[in-house]
Amino acid sequence: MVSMSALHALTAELHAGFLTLSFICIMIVAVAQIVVRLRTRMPRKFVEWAIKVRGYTEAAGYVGAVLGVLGLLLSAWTGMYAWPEDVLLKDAVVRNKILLTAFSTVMWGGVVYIRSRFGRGLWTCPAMATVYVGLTFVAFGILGTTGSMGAHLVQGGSALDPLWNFVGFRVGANLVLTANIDALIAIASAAALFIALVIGRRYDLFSVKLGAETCQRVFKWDEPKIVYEAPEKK
Amino acid sequence: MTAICMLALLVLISPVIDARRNGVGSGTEEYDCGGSCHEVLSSATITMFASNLTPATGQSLTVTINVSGGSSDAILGVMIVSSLSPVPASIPSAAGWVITSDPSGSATNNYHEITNYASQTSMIWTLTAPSQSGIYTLYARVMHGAPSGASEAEYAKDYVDGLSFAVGSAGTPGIPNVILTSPTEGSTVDGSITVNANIPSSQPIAYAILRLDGVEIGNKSAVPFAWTIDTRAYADGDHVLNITAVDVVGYVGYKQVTVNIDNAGTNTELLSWVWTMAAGSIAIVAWIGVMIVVALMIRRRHTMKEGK
Repeated sequence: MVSMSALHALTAELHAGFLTLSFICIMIVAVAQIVVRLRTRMPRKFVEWAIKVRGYTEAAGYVGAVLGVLGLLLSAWTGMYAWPEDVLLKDAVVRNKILLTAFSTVMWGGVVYIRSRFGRGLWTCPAMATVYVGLTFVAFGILGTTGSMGAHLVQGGSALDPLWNFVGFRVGANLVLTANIDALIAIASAAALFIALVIGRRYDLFSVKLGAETCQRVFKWDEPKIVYEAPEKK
Repeated sequence: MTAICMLALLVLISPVIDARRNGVGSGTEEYDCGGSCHEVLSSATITMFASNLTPATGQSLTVTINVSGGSSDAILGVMIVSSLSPVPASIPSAAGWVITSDPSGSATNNYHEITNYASQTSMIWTLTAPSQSGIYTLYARVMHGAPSGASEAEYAKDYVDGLSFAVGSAGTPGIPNVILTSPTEGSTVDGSITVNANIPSSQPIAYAILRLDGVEIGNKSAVPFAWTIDTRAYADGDHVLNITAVDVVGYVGYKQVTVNIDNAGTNTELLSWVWTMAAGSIAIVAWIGVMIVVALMIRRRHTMKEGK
């Protein structure tokens, strides 16, 4: 019988790996887009590479995010059974880790949603690409923080400690807010979302498919072509 | 939104750490910074020994703290404290201990600093036990220094297990001496707790019984004398735990403590945690939604401009 702790370690590695891959790929696409945007000032070969690389990494970033989110959910499930409830909820570091993992999961869910809803055409729209990249960046930052907390639990310290030391963040600090502030945040957020959706419906924002034709035409999106040269017949 | 705020906070809070390099010198220091905050966990190995763990009240004893490994810097400070909290009561004298000699041999400080650390050192304090009987614990904290102006992070490590002393508990010769190490008298507990006891005796212990409010919880005849209790099965409030030990000759030892069970407080804390998680998640979803709408609005404006 495989222990739940071992399974949790396995799933934690799985989601961390997939999401790191996704983060790297999305950042590569972002850089490639900048290169394409500045194509008139870049070496031609460099621009060609950027176009080719973004075609592969864009898809890898999406797949990595989808599998990473599934891995995160699996990790949460195995983590619940890996330790007794008392141990899980008594330790402030564990509570913070669960809290930030939940936030990270929602953010990565947002990354997957944006890519699924708008397709790769989102990269042709700078504003949407900025939201996508920014969300990925923050989601990965929070994921890294939870990883650091995990290292504190397992080995009493983490490689990110100098950073936490520098910014004055204590992984064992109680990140819980008071009920009134929680309620205020939830109500204000729900109201903001409601207003945003009403505006979206009012201007029919969600019906347009993103693409070079409907965006600013600043980014071209040429799919990489895999060229196969058949051997000449004698 | 909450997550963003927290991240922004992380970035915006300027370092408020008063990291004093080059050492602070030996002295009487509280736990924590001792005049110089060391936030990064050291990889040093710390061990702690005492010449006598069951001294009589006012009896002299020595405590040895061995340190090996950790930062390679030559400055090393070691402090002996009575609690791992940054409060004045962490100085051993606040708990009734009297330091009669520190590692220098000529002073009575609880914090001793050396400037020639070379990956291993041993420091000895001589103390007089408190005048009141009871269970006392001493801990050690090790802090590595760094040369002035160096960018090296400053490391520290605690000997969190501490050394527990049963002062004035020698008991009557021949009678099993029950020492309840946890929970301590008057402590507040919640969830699942472990009751631990040491039962030194001149004769083997035949059995030891743990009772809560007079009701038997468990019966053990061999070490470890440890029992797990789920406090959620009991009402919040004061409860009496007692252990009765009987040796093979028939002598009986007894110890009792009163603890305060408070699961309601824990539940409230957990509820706040769940609320924060829910509110934060709603805020993140809303933030994503708003950002998408803003991006689509920008796209629409540009499309309209291009259309014109």
